[in-house]
Amino acid sequence: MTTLSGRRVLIVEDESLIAMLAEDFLIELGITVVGPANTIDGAIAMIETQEIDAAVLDLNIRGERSDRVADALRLRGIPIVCATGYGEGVSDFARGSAIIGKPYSKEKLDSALQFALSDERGDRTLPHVT
Amino acid sequence: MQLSGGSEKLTDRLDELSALYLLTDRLYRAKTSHEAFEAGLDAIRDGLGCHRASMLLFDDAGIMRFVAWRGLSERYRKALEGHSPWVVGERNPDAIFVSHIAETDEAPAVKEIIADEGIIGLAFIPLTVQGEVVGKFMTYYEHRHSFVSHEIDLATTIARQIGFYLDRTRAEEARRVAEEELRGSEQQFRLMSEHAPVMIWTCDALGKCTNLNIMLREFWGVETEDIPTFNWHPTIHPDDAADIGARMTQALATQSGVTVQGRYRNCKGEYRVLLTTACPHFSPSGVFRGLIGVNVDVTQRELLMAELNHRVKNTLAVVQGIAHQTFRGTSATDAHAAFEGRLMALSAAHNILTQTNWEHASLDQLVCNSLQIRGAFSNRVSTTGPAILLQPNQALSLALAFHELLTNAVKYGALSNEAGKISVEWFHIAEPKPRLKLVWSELGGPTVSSPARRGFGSRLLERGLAADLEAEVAMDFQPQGLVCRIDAPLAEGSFPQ
Repeated sequence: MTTLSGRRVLIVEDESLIAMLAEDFLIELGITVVGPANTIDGAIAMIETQEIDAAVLDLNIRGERSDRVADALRLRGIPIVCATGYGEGVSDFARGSAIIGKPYSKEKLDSALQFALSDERGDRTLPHVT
Repeated sequence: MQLSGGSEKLTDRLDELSALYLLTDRLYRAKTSHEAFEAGLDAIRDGLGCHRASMLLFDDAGIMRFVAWRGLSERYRKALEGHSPWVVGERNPDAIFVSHIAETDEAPAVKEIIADEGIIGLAFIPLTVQGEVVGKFMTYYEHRHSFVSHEIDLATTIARQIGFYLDRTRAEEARRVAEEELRGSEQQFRLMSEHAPVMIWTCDALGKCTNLNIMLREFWGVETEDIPTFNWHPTIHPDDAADIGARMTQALATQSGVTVQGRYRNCKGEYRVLLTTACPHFSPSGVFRGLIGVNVDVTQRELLMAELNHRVKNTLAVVQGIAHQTFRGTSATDAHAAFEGRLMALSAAHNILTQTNWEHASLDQLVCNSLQIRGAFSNRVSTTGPAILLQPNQALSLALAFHELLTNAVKYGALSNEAGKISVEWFHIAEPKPRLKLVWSELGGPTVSSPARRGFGSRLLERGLAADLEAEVAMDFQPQGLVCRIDAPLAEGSFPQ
């Protein structure tokens, strides 16, 4: 069981109420929240400048697929939890990352982050950049 | 015995015979009706030695019209056109032989016209096709004429020959018209298919492409001449190819219709979602000829559906967020948890419906998801029942109901200790109308007594479910465990065969 306490997790979510909820869940899990970022550029800026252990990433940010954020995270080997309403191409986007459907409970978020951080997904040594 | 007289008669018979031979030959070779009628008039002249004759046919309006004649003035023809002893459609009429016109009871005016033309004796011989009179041929004599039997026989034979000719040409004409109509109708359907705003195709009994309309040729970028060698299978998305291939093969093997959806690559290299509906077609003698199919591009519809589902789920997440902020810092922790649990149950039911584009939900899947059969309670909950498809509203209501029952069982019922179990059994009743009978029974939990006050769970079940499903719901708090019976009507087709 990976401990989440003290980890730094980025939230990328454009819907403020959902972002606030995710923030509360993460805090209750003992996690230090980075963000939330509510734009793609804002998220990329945070990824480039801040220490991040994992990210909870919404598939769509303001009508745009957040692939650029996912690429930036993968480039740095940061594990991703993809949060999404049901939509086309989720598995393409996730490429093996954990997926949680909205709305999600604190327990679901907890286990998705545990999974993402369990073995660091090997991403730090072998980034999935294609 | 008078040899000379006998040989004269013999010569006459030979003339008649040769006139008939000639007539038969000329009718056989006739390219036009005019040639046929002339042949008939020649046969009358050569066979009967009669130089004045005519041929008449009913026109489309049923009026007897001269179509060919010999030795008749225009005045006579005009005056007697339409004069007929028979009407259209009369069957097997007898010929009429008049030795002297003055001895008939024709109208004086008619008699006068005939007399003015110098005609005394005359014969009306009907022309028939399949037994129905279509016209007549006439012979005219300038003197009293006694018709003898061989004359009558010959006239009748000539009339029959011409009748056969008319029959043959009319059948040919009818066939020509029918063929033309068929060609016209085929062209019309071809044009309709060509320009229809959907993709239309045909394939032969082996699945080989035989026709693609404009829209489909443009979709795949195929020229008409390349259709015979065109193979559409490689354009299917690799993930969909096996399913579509199997379904098409099955449709061809069983000579039956098929509906299948999948992604196909168009000539621009983009994948589009096509919904295909194909039906078998057979020759008039019942030989399977292949499939006729229509493809509709439903890509936009699928995207809208995905977008709608996405928004619904996002909205549920926002509601969850609002609740979270509302309950935050209050003492209503239980209420918050209950609310979130219900919201999650609703969301889970949405997921099941999303998989079928909101067409239906499988009861089995709904029960398993709602009761976490594969999760925490895998050893404590058992389910049995046939496959039943629920309408979306039924699925949402039942999902909330199962959530309440489960929550209740965890708090107070069979799942509140280590030993209790839950059994969910359902049956499909077909007659008189399809119904679902579902029994939730708990056993092995703490001793149950009927609750003093009805909570939201009970209200939702007894009133909400009853109203939403038009169901009868009975909650029976037996000491050994709660038994909840749900008896609800089902839609037609809810029981897949």
